[in-house]
Amino acid sequence: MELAVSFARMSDDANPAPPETMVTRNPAHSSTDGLNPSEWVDAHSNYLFRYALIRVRDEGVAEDMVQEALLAAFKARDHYTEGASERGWLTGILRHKILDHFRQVGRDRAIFHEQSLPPELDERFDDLGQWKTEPPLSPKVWGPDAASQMQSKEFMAALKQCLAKLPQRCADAFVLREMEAVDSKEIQEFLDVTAANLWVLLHRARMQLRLCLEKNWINV
Amino acid sequence: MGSNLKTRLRRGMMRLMGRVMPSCKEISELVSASMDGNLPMRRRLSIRFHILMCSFCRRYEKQLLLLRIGTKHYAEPDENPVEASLSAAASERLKRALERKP
Ligand SMILES: [Zn+2]
Repeated sequence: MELAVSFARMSDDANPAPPETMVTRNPAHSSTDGLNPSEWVDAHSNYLFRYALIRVRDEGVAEDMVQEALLAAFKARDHYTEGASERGWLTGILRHKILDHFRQVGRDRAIFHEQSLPPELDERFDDLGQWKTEPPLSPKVWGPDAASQMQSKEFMAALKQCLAKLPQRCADAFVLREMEAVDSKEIQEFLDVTAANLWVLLHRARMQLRLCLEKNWINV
Repeated sequence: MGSNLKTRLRRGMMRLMGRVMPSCKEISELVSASMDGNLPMRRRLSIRFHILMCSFCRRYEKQLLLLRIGTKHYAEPDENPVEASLSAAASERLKRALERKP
């Protein structure tokens, strides 16, 4: 293996990487510019793990993603552009791994058959399709400072809980759309669903999350 | 009493409008769809008209937009205080895996 530069050796001054391999930079200088693979775990793995965990919602899967991403990054280090943010570059590679993961589970996860809303959401409308006011099941006022609470710990704790209550496919669609801003057409491919399916998945995710936040965050 | 009359009037009005305008239920669907792509002008106008008159759907739309903003913050590891961190054991596992390397 010509790329057999172990991370242990790369960080060892007494035993520098062979010059014909890619990482020939003196480790003493490499923290100021360019990549420093021997430091990746200490410097970035927590950030990358949390980035993945927020999206895939499973610690084991998130850890695997980070490992895959770091190994892929090591192999692809020739393609790194000098001067780019190391963390940004690694996050980009991780993001691809995460999208691959969704493509994978999109095929595995049970098909989402429902074409309409579950009773808890549907019963909020009356026979005319209007929000019920008796008993009041319509959207409540969130208060004038709701917008400024979007970065609060309380809001995020509630959102985490509410995301966990969504059916997996709803949550997957929501994550791809709202966290990664993936285009609807692409999400349809990733999750292997029709335009109409995706439309229902996202509609349901938003309606259920809104209601759950109203119950668990606004009303506490 | 007063609020009961208001409710009945409102229902009556919505029943009339229901013949030409989408219901709240349909508007909630359109509001979500409008966040994922461009709706035809006719659809966008029907949302705006409905929302002019319906405070619930106005709230609904506003809150979905707030949800979108909040989710963006939540998605950023440095802004999210509620998601777990990498354990020391997992960090060790990563180091070992990378030492074995490609
Ligand atoms: Zn309405």
